[in-house]
Amino acid sequence: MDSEIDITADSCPMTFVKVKLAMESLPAGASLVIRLNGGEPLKNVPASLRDEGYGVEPAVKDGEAYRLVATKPADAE
Amino acid sequence: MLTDHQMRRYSRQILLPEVGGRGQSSLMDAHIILQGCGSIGAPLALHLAAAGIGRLSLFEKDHPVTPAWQRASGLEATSEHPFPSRRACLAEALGRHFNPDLDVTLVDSDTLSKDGTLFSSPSIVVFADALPDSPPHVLRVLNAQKACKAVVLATVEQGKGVLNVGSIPHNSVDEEGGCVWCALSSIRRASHHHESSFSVTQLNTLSLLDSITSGILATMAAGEILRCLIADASRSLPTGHLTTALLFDALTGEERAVSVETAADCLLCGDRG
Repeated sequence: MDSEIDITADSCPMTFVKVKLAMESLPAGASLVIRLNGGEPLKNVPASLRDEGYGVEPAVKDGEAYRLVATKPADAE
Repeated sequence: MLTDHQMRRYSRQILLPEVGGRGQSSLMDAHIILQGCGSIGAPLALHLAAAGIGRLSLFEKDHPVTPAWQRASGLEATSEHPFPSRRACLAEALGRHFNPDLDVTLVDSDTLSKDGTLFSSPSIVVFADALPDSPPHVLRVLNAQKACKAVVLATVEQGKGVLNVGSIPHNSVDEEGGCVWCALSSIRRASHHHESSFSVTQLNTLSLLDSITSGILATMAAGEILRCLIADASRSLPTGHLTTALLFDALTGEERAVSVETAADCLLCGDRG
């Protein structure tokens, strides 16, 4: 089962700080489900994840928020 | 595991690809021994505390808080808080304003030379004070214990700032460039061969420049120390021991890297060590 994190109550830069720390704690190849708000988080969090080499699936609407799935590369240390 | 408060406090550096959660944890696990709380040591300690260093041992005899020290450190000992010494003033500021989680220990500098048990777990040892001609006893103790990741020497000599980040002999057997004391010898030779009208006497008179040189050195030393601590937790930074040796002159603005050579007669790692 994928790990989950809800950052809808956070604002920049804590949104990506929490996601980044959660991704670092995952084993290689594992995924993280991220619940985030639209607007700035929806724009910046996926972009930052890609910049750091994580795989990111397109966000999907989840009530008032969005759901995003990020995956740690299988060859990550 | 970082608390929410720590995440907020260090958020901007955690975001750096070279730092992240692992790098921040390395900083929080680190123990720095700092010899000297003067115009270099004090601002250096502030940088380290603000970055999230976990444990800091301050070694110094009691020195009074003077206007020159207050100017260099940016700290104040007001009549409402008449601190008995500059290290006490510094320790209070570190905990209150820069890092409430910091574990600060004040130790008399004589203890640093005598009590080897204090060196059981230092990450880095910093000498931010006038350096003697022969290696301090503590370097021999650290070498014998094979403790310590790096040694930092930051001081003002011949009117110039000297910064030297290196390893002690047990860490540098298979590396080129010699130990930290070889590096200091190289710096001293380079300094003596370098013409300058900026004498020690002038520096002492121009106390503002003294503060500037010390502050620049402190900031550069803090950067090197943090980089050294983070390097092991990051794949984006070079690992291994740093070999920074440079001279800095505040009057000319000149900064000069000094090539370090292994000295066969080094008092620490050479035949006489």
